[in-house]
Amino acid sequence: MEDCRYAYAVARIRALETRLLTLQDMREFLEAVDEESLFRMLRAAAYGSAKEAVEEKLSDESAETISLLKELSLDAELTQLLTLKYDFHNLRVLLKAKHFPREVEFLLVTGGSLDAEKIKYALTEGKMHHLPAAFAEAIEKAEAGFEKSADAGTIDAILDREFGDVFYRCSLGYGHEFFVRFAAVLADLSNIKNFFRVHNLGGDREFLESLLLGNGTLEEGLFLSYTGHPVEEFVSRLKFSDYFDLVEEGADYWKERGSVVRLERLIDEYPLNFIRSAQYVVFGPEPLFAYGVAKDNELKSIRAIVRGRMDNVPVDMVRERIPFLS
Amino acid sequence: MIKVNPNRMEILRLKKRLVLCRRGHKLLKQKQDELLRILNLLIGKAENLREEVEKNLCRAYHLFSLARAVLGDRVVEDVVTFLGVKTHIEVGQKQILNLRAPEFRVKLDGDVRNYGLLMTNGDLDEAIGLFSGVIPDIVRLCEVENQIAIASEEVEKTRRRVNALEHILIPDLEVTIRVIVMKLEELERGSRVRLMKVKEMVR
Repeated sequence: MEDCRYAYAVARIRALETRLLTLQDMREFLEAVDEESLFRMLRAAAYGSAKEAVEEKLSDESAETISLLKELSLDAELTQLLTLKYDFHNLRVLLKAKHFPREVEFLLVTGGSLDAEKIKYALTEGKMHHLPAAFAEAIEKAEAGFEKSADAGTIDAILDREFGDVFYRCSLGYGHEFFVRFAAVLADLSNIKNFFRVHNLGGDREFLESLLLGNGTLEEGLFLSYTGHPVEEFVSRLKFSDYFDLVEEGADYWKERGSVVRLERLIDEYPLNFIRSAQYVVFGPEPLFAYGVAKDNELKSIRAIVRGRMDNVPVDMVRERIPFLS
Repeated sequence: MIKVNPNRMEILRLKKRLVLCRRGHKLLKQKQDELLRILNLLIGKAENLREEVEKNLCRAYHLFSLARAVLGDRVVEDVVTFLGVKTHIEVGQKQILNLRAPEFRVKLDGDVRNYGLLMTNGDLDEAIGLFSGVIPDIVRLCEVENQIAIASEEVEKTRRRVNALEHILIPDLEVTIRVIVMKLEELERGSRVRLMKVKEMVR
């Protein structure tokens, strides 16, 4: 379904997409012989010429991207889908700070649709009606969970689940198949990743259950039923799902080295492949969202390369974490 | 040589002192050998511990750096700000021969992994795991290095004492005894000659 209201936005995004860095650029950054040549290449790509300048530029780019997308968005649902993760981050930080008082101003992010001060006010004064219903509900659930466990991790786990839920409901309400499928993919990938991470963290079935996101194409019960079983059984159970190749390769690496690095890289690559379908949308909100995801990935990759270089992290370690690079 | 009156009482006293010095020298030598053996063991232990701590810290910092880059500084700082673990250190004492060295016991209370997994990744899990695992090792390393410092100071003191006994006190006592013996013999010879002379004059 084409949405001609987005004609201007899509045209602008298509122009910006041509400026996204390619895989070859990333490869060259990574293989730069020294810091000087890395920063020379980054300067050529308009990312600054020193570590501080690059870090600042990356932060600015991130803020500019989200503000551009908010500006181009013509639907409240799209804006919410784009900004939800920032709002939930602030919610998480402020709710934890309410129960474990400490200085958290520096942890708050801009880019959300809700002002952090507003969330703070609602939390301290207990006036939840100042917040959208979905947020108020999420806070209530997190508070109830915290009362039982008195653990900051519970707040995170509940708000993570609520984030998945709100994201799905919002995409469902938006009525675009692309976003509904994206939300389901997000839930599935998060559940697969957490299934392996819980193994590594020595968590039990109950711990995994507290982390699983609903609304995915893979049922939560599937993950729970394979907890404590050999991982091969879980992999073969996914044989006919879209995620089989990813899980098989990630699980092989995990068995060999006990690390989820490969799986996480494949999981990072999956949404990037998924958003490619937005290339074929002539007019609609999908290209905006896809650009946001692609730009986010670009910024993350550059930051990993720069930090890796500055902190003397072996190149192979950095390469393993950049989508599509190895 | 020690300045003493050359008489038989003094010889007896000096001989007793010499016996005591030789015994003390033997014991101190044994103590020094044992201290050196302990010191070598401690140095070996410290080297292994330091190597392990540095290896783990290096990997932890690399992973942490990558996690900060990929997840964003604020997400990672949020996690570490609210980590639900407290470290307690109990201080005790350990006896090494005659020395007392502090001994530390580290206890981590709470769960170090009390954060959500949706916005974090495996690198952060591993980095936090390594950091929390390395804390007891760092404290143990401090303890061992402190024991090395105490033991090496004691080795130095003992070596000084052994050397003082071996090269100064024992030779001095031996020389003094020999000189006194010679002086007494000289006196005896003098009195004998004097007696012989008197006997001759009387005859």
